[in-house]
Amino acid sequence: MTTRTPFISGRTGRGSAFVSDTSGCSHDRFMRISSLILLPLGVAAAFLLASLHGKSYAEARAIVEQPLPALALIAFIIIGMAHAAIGAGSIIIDYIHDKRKKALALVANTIAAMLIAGLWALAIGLIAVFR
Amino acid sequence: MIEAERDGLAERRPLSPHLTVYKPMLTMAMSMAHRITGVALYLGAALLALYFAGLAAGPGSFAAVSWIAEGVTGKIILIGFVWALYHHLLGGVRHALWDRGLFMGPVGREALAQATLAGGVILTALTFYLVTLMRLY
Repeated sequence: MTTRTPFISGRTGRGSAFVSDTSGCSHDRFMRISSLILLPLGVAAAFLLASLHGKSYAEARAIVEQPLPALALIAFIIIGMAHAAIGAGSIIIDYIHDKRKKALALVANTIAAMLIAGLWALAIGLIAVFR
Repeated sequence: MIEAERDGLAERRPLSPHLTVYKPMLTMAMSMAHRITGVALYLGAALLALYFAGLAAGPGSFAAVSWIAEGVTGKIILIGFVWALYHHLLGGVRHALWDRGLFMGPVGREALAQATLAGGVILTALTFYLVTLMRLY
């Protein structure tokens, strides 16, 4: 016996999104939105990080302490690590099958992501504020 | 079925062949690369967090972390990170297009995969060119 729920997307036709128009999984939604936001932020971060090569202490600080680059880098890492945490979570769920190890890995992933984003944002914030 | 995960016999059950039999296709490789660049960016972010922490803490601490952005090691790390970033970024665009059903035909998906690969390399080269030779920053 099969039951069939008619799938109705709010938008049909070529080029319309093949996703449900109901609430959707929150992770999936966040990944889509964060990907969009990370488009410009990623390009900005790429330029800023590339510019750091070979810079001395004073030169590197001179780049990072400016308000716009600092804000771009902080926004990049906060949204980026949230994005990365969900992505790494998918990887953990895919490859680790033992329930205990999977749970531990997922918790470790969340904590690591928060530590990395926190350290990075705090460091740049301090550099920019106490220039 | 959940017992199948827990009974410890999983390692002894036979698997149907996958990597050994599947013809390597660009779209398949790009999917793997999307995930691998994601992991690389996660680890690279950790390294760069240490770099910025050293930069914030003072000249003494900076001396301990400057290798991340200096010399050959720094070049490898930064070029690697920036390339992974662009590759993953363009891969995300590729997925967004596919989600809308565009470029999914046999020609379209190959073209999109090649464009992602080429675009990542080109954007990385462009970024480093603009930053170092033109001193954009």
